Amino acid sequence: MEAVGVLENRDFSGLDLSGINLDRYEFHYCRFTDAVFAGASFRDSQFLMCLLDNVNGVESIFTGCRMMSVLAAGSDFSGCDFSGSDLININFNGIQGAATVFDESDLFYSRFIYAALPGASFQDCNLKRVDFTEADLRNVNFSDSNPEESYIPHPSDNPV
Amino acid sequence: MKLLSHFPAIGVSNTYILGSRDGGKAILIDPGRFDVTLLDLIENNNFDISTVLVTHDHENHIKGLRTLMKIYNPVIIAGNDEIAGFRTRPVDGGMKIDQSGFPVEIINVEGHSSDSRVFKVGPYIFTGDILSAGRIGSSPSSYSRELLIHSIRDRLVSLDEDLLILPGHGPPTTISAEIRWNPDLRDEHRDSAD
Repeated sequence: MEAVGVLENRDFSGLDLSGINLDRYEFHYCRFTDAVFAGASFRDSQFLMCLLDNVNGVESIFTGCRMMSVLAAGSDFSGCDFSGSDLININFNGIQGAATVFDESDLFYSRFIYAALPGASFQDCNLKRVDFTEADLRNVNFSDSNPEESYIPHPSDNPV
Repeated sequence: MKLLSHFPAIGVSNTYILGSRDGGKAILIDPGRFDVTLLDLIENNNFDISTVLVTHDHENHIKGLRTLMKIYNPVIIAGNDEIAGFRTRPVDGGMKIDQSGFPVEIINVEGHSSDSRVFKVGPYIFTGDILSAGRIGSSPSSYSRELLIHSIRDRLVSLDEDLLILPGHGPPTTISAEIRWNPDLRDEHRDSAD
């Protein structure tokens, strides 16, 4: 699928992009730190080595995205849909991800340390070497995925 | 300044390239694997790799060095005076050097390996195995681990919180993110580690 546009080394820090439609764009080395794109649409877009930390992306659509080596720590992705995406080597540490959907995604080598993921769905995902240390995984759906190949600390790992 | 990143699925060690937007002399950090993708990245940006920064002499960070030397013959900057049979320009903590048109600051962080060096170039910190997103490097003993935590706090956490950390493994992060979400660096563990 051909990209609508390729944006490289652009700075979108702190901008309000709520509801914007940027489907099928490619973002290379772009900065979105502290931006607001609640309800925005990034279907089939690519994010290569971008900074999406501390953004407000509540209920945004990222279906079919390809992300690689992205910093997304501390962002609010509650209610977002990342279905069918490649989310490789992503820093999701400390994110808010209540009811966020990651179904049918490849999350190889990504990190969710201290992420709040209550009610999130990781159905039919590749979770190889994904790190969920200290994450809130209440009511998370891991059906048809491989959580045994991820790092999910068991309470017995830290005996009192 | 232009930053490029290479994440090979085999080996999963990050390699970075720093150069100018117009191409020319560039710095490559940790040649863990030299493959066609990395070669394309260099050539398509018209870079001439004139400096290699090696964060430490572990195979998964230097395996691509031999090929890189054959093609570009760069100066190697490292903690040891020899890497994979090649002479280096050895550096130590506190040194500031100019390489390929960029000022490079060297920071020593003890506790992972004796030759580990952290490189600060502009807004970027290349930490190798010392510090990654939510993780610190491995250590051979509990004493070394405490030394590593203490050194990271003393020499890295004290830097500008907005600096971008580019680790040898895993995704990018920032000092501020590590203060908040690195289990070994969070304030709640400070008393036990110090």
